[in-house]
Amino acid sequence: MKLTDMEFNDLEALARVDLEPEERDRLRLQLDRIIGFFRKLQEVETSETDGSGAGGGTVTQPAADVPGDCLDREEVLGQAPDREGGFFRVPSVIDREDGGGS
Amino acid sequence: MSGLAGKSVGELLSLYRDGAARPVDVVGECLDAIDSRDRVAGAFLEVFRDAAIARAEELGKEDPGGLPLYGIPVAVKDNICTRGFPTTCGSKILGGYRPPYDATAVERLTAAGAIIIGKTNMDEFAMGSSNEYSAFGSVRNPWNEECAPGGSSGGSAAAVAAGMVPAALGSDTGGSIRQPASFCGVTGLKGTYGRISRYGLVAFASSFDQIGPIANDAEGCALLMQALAGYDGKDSTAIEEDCPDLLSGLDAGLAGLSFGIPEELGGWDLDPAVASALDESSRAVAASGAAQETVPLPGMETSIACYYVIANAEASSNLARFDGIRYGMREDAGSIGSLYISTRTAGFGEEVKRRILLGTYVLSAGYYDAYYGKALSVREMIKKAYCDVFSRIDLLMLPATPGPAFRLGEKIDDPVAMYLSDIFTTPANLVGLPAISIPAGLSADGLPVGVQLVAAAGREDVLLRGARGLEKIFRFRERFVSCGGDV
Repeated sequence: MKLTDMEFNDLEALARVDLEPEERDRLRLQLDRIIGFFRKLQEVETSETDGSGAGGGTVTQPAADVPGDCLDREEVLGQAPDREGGFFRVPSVIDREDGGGS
Repeated sequence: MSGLAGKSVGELLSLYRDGAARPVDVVGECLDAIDSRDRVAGAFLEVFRDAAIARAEELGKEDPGGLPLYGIPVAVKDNICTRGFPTTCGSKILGGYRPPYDATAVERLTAAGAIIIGKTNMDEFAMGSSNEYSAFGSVRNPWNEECAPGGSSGGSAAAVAAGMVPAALGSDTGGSIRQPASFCGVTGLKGTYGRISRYGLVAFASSFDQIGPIANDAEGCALLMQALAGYDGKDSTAIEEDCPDLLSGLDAGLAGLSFGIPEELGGWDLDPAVASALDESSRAVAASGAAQETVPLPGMETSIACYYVIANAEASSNLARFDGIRYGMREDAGSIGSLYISTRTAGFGEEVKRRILLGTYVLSAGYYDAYYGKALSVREMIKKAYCDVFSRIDLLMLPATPGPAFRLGEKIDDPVAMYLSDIFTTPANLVGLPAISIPAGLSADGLPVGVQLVAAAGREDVLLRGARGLEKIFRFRERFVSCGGDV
């Protein structure tokens, strides 16, 4: 079973990437091959598992829900490609008819 | 004294205690070695020259016996955060990023007296087995510059192998410490999942990722691991129990341990040098009075598929954070949706895109149960099989890789062949067990091959004791001329 055009377009959209045609063709062939390799998993009888993947592994503990130290705001914002005051600056999130806004 | 940069961690600590060397001397020789050897090797992305010298001078005023890693220069893989210094993960998308905090592992090394000397090259976001997927050029294997150093911690392994530093930090998601350690003829340790805090390790696949040491020998790995291990409230998956004492029993020898060798190894096409190293190990184990048996470990090939389904699923989620908003590069666009797409398209390399697409596929509606859900069930079965095995034995012995380092470019167009080079390392990540690669011998082409040991969860002490015992039999550093200096 090979990926259809529609499936590959959906994957690109979900992954938030836009591939060049040559890269797209190459990756699509490779994905078909790798997904074929993944199908080996279907041969394994797993009816006696609970599907959690845990298998007696360690259980993680949630952190106590109390305020603690946090990173310095200025240092964090200093890493941003664009900022305004105490905020990350981004282009418009909702398109406006006049095309403005950021 | 010259040749300090190529000394082991234990040797340097002895020299310091005897007053025969000072941290500034050692750091100076490491920097000289990097200057002369790294032009070809390409192991370092950033060298902290001034900071390392300043730290060495500070340490010179302190008691050499007061800190467990006094004056030990350590290189750090570039996916581990270093406050105020670049951390790129080998990716263009994190160009210019300087984290506002240190990883817990870096804090602990520094507190123990280590000197962070720079950041090492790696496959982008730790996705690769050859270091060819770094956005900043491939690392070359110090034993043969036409060959891959392994990956993804290839820069760290090459830096130690070429005698530029005595130790380095790597990260191991599916073998990314042990495979390059094997390819480069050094020792690489991955602890039990949760043994070292992941705080400050840029996430690839969170249920597998572990930071670990690479050094010239098992003692060096033990010394670093002892300093790195321990609970950290900043990582909810960190183990709360104390790490066992890794040093006092290190030289206890192999007698009294029980070893298991997987029955299924007979079905694999191993390089003759790898098969020979395993035979030598097996004979040595028998001669030492340790017990040995073959053990069933079915589904080794399935474990690779299982690993790559889950790891890619986790990666596709973890890498969603790289969007050009909070850090790293940005490709400007008219809307926020276009900005995400243009930044990620320009910032990620092809292997990262391939894995994000695969992870997105196995998590998508209609395929989730068949791939991701199924892989979780297979992982559970593999864990149960390993639990059964470790109820009978102390240490599992198997190759680190099927063969020695492959040539650069040899597997770049065949992702499945590249993935299969991790066949013997991924199970320890799927199960969360500690594992180590020890250099055992050379192939017909003069390239190192490693033997891998795996221990039960929490038993890094047993693992390192076994590794030290085998190391004394292989005598790799004594038998083979160091490659340092000529890469």
